[in-house]
Amino acid sequence: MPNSSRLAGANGKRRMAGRIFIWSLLLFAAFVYLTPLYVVIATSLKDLAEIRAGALLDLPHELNFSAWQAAWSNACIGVRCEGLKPYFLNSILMSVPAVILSTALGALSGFALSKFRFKGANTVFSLMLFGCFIPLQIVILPMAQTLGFLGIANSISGLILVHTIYGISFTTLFFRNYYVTIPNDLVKAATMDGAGFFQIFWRIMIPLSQPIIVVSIIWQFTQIWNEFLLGASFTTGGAQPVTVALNNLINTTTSVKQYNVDMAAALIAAAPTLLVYVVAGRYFVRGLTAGAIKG
Amino acid sequence: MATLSIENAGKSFGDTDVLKDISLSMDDGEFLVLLGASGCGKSTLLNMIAGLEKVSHGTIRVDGEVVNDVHPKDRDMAMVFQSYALYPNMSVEKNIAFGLEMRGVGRAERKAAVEEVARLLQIEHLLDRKPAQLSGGQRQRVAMGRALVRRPKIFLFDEPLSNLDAQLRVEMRTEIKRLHQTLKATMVYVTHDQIEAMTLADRIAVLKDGRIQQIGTPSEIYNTPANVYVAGFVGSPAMNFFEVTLERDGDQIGVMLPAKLKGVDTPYFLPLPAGGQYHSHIGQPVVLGLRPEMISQATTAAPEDPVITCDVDVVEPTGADTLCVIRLAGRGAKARVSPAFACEPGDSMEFALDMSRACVFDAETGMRLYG
Amino acid sequence: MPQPKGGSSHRTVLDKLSRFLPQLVVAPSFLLILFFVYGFIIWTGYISFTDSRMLPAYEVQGFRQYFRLFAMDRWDVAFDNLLVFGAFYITLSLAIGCLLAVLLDQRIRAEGALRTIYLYPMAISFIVTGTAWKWMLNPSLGIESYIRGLGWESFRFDWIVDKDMAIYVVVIAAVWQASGFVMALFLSALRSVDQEIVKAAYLDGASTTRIYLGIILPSLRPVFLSAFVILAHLSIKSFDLVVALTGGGPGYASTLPANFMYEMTFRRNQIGLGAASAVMMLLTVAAIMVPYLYSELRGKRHA
Repeated sequence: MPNSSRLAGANGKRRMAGRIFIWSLLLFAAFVYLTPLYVVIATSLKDLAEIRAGALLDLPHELNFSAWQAAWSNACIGVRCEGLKPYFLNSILMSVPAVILSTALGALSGFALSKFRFKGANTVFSLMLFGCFIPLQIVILPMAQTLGFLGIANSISGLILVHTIYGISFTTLFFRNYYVTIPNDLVKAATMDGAGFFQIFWRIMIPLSQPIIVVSIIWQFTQIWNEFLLGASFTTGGAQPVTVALNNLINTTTSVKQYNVDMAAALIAAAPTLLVYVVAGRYFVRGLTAGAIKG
Repeated sequence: MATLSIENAGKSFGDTDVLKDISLSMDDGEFLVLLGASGCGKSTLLNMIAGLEKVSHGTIRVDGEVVNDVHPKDRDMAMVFQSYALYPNMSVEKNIAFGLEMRGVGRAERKAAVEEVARLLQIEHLLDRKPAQLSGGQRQRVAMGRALVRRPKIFLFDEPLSNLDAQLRVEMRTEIKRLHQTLKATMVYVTHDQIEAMTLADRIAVLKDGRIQQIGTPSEIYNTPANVYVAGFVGSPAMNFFEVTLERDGDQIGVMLPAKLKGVDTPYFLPLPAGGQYHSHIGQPVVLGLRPEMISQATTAAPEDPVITCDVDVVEPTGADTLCVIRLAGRGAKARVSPAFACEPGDSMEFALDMSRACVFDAETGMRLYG
Repeated sequence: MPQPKGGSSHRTVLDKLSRFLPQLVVAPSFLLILFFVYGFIIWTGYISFTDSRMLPAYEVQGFRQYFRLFAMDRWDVAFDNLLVFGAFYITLSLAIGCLLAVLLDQRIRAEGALRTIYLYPMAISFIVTGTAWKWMLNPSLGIESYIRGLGWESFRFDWIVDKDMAIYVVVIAAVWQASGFVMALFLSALRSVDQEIVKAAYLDGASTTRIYLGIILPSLRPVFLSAFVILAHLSIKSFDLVVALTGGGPGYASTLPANFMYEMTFRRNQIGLGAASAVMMLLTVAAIMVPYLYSELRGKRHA
């Protein structure tokens, strides 16, 4: 990268000032980005009296995990006082199958669209791609009716279906753009060797797809776990995913607002995707930039 | 072991014809090289033979049977790719055995076949490695092994040596030739490298713009090129071309060729042996083609060859020979002389022209006249 | 050539099928998209032309719902909010993301750690983001009271309950969430700038600033465009953040079209009106995405 230190004769003092300037901006930004996370964690560990004292940015006097306990297992959401736990499980039951299904379908379509340029393949791909960008509001009404017609309204199965379908556009994009970079000669060689479509897919392509499978799984998991609109529109009560439950918890008006429980609940809801981000951040960034249609 | 014949085959993508009216036939055990610059359609033709590209017009026959609609896997051909196309996730052994596995050959039989091929190609010690752990030359051998192990009717090679460094390329070239001599299999080999084509082929088909320009043995292609393109494409350094007019001088038919001597163009009349066949072209513009080795030091030349004297602009020693750049008919021409006779740049020197091997082309069509 | 009948016809059927296998494999996904995206768009479009209230009605009423929509103050507010939100959200995210990327590009030792910090908000749901910021911006217990506690008694930061300023609260939280993403986009693009050009500019005596402004940033135009398009369509789709942060309030001062649609459809039994607003959202997205996708896909085909 361009760096003035490479230049002979660069003024040492001015360089030093420049570095200090750069570093202070970067650290200030880091502070701003981290503050909300710190505040949420700190608040979740304080008791209500300490919170009401108003020292938002102060460290908690002692580590008090009772709010976490409450948020997980006995906070009241609407009329039910079972905490976030059942909704957290809902989100797992919803996202795991939807992630697997949409990734599998995307891998197959991406393979067929990239390695077998049949007539109309590009049109098919363009039409599927547009599905990434539609505002979901445009499909909510018919979807609600269709789910009712299929008998899976207000159920986790319904959400699995919805998330699978609207994930296919993204996963197809990921896999197609990845497979485009794999040489066509491999497919030709395997064809000459006598392998058919599924044998090439399973024996040659899938073993090469590990990175993009990870990208697809992480992207889909983050999207589906964090999704709110579809969950709020198609489920009520016990079938809701964790984001919807969290929002209800925050907006449940009880006699005393338990900010520490709210914050603990927010952390619990954010934990799985944050964990994935910390463990596999590299793949997360690739998914994000792949969404920018940079093959 | 198989014969291959292609009749009036063509390929079009939309409105563009990439291959037009291709006809050729190959004997059992023949080594045919498809030679041409990039974009001439040679790889497309190979893919059509393999069944990887659909044939738009015409027919392709193997052993007399039309195979246009036969799936690649049922054509019993094997192909070696420029990129080698080794399966990155499989060991060398699995790579070589994959085709047999897909054809339902049993495990024990596969293993025996792989070992035999590995011995033949001297890659026994590499069988457990992954392609990424191999050098370019080793990958090339594995790619060959993958083709050999199936004992196909026809072998197809798509520029198999172009990704190797110069020295390895020469080694592998010899190896491929030796394989062909051992297996006596029918082979089609695509390349843009005319030296590969000359050294390997029983016959060469030169392609340009989707058409076959000439099919013939290497010596036919070299000595009697069908047109200016073939003449210029094959041979290094390339043939010298001069735009001249056919003239009669007494009972001889020949061309006037000005040579630059001490900065002044000096015309020479160069009679063409067997010039009688050009009789009807007298007075017409033609292109005279002389390969560098046809312009050589006069000292050792045959007595009937005409001799010219001209300035030497540049001298390029190549070791075995020395190339002298001289000016003939207003353009630079290369002459190939023995290093013992080479002069200094700026000197003038006597050259003999071997007109018995000269090529004469129609100036308009570029086609060779007679001979 | 006479052949056993059953065997040969069976074989040709299978052969034909296997020839169309790629199409057959794409078909289920494509049909799902065709029905659940394009079919539903038409369906919603149809509903928007009816008088549907609590339940869908199927008698076409023309553009009545659209006239109602454009006459509503609530929709005006939502659409004006979208323009304000979109403008600030896109500009600030681009500016901050780009600045951070350029700063990180100066051989910073802790680059990996800083990048992780800038980008983590992107992994969090809007609901959580909204919850966190709502708490921090709470006038009585959040930042305002904290600063007052430090001794600045007259400090005011109560935008979240101010109907003129509430939408800017949404902007702050949204920029916090998205700027790291823009940074990641720009950083990866900066890393692929041709270093020979940069070296040549150094040899010509250009300063670092000049090189960035004159050579590097202009070469990132395509990235600016992608980032702009992505942020623009995200802003139109923004829904959850408003729900969790302001609930659209005070009153409906900070609603966006997405919130309007949800409110009409699920709370007020105005399905036809909700459908009409959804169509308006789709048209806005399409106006940005269709030309972009068209040029991207065309460009690729020619490359």
